[in-house]
Amino acid sequence: MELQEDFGLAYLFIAHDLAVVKHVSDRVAIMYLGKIVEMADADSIYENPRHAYTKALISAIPVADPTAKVERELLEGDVPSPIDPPEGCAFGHRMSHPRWPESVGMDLSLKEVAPGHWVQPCPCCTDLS
Amino acid sequence: MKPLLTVENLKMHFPVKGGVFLRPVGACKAVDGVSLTVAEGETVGLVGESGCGKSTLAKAAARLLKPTDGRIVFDGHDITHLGMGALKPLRRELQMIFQDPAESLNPRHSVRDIIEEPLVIQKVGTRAERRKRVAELLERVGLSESAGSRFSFEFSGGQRQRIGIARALALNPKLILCDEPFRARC
Amino acid sequence: MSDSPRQLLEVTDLRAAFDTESGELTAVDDVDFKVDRGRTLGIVGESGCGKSVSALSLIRLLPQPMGKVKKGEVWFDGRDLLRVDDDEMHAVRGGEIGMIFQEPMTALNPVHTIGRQLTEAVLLHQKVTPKEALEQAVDMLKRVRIPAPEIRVGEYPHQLSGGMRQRVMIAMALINRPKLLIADEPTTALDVTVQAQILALIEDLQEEMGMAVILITHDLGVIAENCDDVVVMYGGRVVEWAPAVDLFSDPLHAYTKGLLRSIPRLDRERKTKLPTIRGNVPALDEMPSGCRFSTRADVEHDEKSKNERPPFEEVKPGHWVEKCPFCYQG
Repeated sequence: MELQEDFGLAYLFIAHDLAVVKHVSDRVAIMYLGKIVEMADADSIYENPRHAYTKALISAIPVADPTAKVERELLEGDVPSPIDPPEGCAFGHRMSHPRWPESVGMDLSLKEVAPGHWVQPCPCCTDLS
Repeated sequence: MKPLLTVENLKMHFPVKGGVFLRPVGACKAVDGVSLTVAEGETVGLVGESGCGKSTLAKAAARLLKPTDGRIVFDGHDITHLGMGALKPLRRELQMIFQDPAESLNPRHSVRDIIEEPLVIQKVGTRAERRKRVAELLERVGLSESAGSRFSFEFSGGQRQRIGIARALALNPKLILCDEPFRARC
Repeated sequence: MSDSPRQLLEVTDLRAAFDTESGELTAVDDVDFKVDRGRTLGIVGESGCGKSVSALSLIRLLPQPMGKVKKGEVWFDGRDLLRVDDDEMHAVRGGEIGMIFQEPMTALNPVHTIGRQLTEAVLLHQKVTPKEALEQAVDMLKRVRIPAPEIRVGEYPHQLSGGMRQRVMIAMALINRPKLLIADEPTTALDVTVQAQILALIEDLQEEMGMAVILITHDLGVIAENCDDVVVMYGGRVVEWAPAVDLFSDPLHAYTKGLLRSIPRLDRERKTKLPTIRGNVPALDEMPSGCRFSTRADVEHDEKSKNERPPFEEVKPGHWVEKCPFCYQG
């Protein structure tokens, strides 16, 4: 639906299909268990994702080409419950990442790693380079 | 670009009750410190698994829910603590389209009535003007004018989605919050 | 009816209709397809195209009393399922044919534990003791990667997350080692990461158990990654049927081409207009009797093609298409 044609109107699109979201959005925010873990303009988030959860979401999108060889790492476990969520980085906790304990007690507010590209600075899931 | 919607450190916590006396035994931290802006004319996508809090965040931003903590500013006005009456003018400017259009469209009303309803509530125009506006909106979302006299349940999921969008556009809002607008597309 | 050892299911001339206030509406209109043993057939199309009704028809689970199979044959492993008696059909359903639906809560009984539902399914189809049935239940929950299955058997469906319930549904569908699994939008209600897990799981179990799968979905990405062959349905009819590789590389029907063009892709230029098929699927009682896609195709159709059903022909080995002169683009 060509909603973008409506001049001057702003949208907040809430969705689970990243391919559709990329198509319509100027900026994209990735949310995991009550927190935004990464936020950037749509091109950078797909071309240069920094957080492990964003990477997992992108790699899980089915590829509409039967000849493509798709190698993907499947996430272990299930979507966790927001009731009494784990301390520190929730995604690192789900992945049982060895460096997750370092994220407990850390200030996890988003850091700007490139102009307009914000990411949760946890040692377990984020490539800060 | 001028920010239209600013969400600052928003928290939406719900008590979880348990035991025989249903005492609070924990908190569901559906949204736990989220900051986000949407500029005028900008489209922001919010992505995550179901249960990650994205729908709760949208409902709070539209002030359908009262935030536990944080601040929501829309078009220069702090709307964090506004009551129902004070929010009414805001409802023109900020529209929400829900995940399941079947649930949010009244099955006993014709499509024309459904799309016209927000105009009636906000007392916009004469009846004839409103009807003209409904016809324009139907055309804009790709439905025929004859669709207006039918009922929403006669339509496919994708078409019901279009009806929801036409309704949301009726009042010329500045911001539309769409919760999974494409899920029912196919 | 020829029944090659490779072939598991052959559907011919299947027609299903619903009685409504405005008369009888044909939802599946003379549909043909086949599934070989161990293979995966995808059925794709927009909502209302008849893909789910086709699947429900072949296992005789159309909503009653409105739904009726009007004609056709469904040859499954040597017999026509539309003509076996109810007892045999009960034995086939949940035994030789397993089913997974979109919303697991409708298929799981909320008042019984997971363990009881699984063991009852085993006892209905196999001559084993309740203890052996429970062992099978725990084993199957383990196979669908439910953590702590010995504890989960004592829990109720509402105690599980959406992803976990879908795994329990798969366990229910597979516990009697079916020859065919029918999965109707098994992952639509789930998130991409969980969807990928569930589809990988179905594929692993399929390999291990040698079963065939019919995967019904609207997601062409899911089709491309998981199916050997694809049936494209529109307005209750099959418009194209081909091996997945051929369908994606060389689609021959205008509708299939339109569907493939409208897939949102990550590598596509952002904020460009996503090509969509114009217009909407007409209501069943407004469908043209000839080429059903004639009301939406870019090419204007003549009266003859609007009114006369085009022939469904094999134009290349294994590649079938409805040969409307305006929609067939070979």
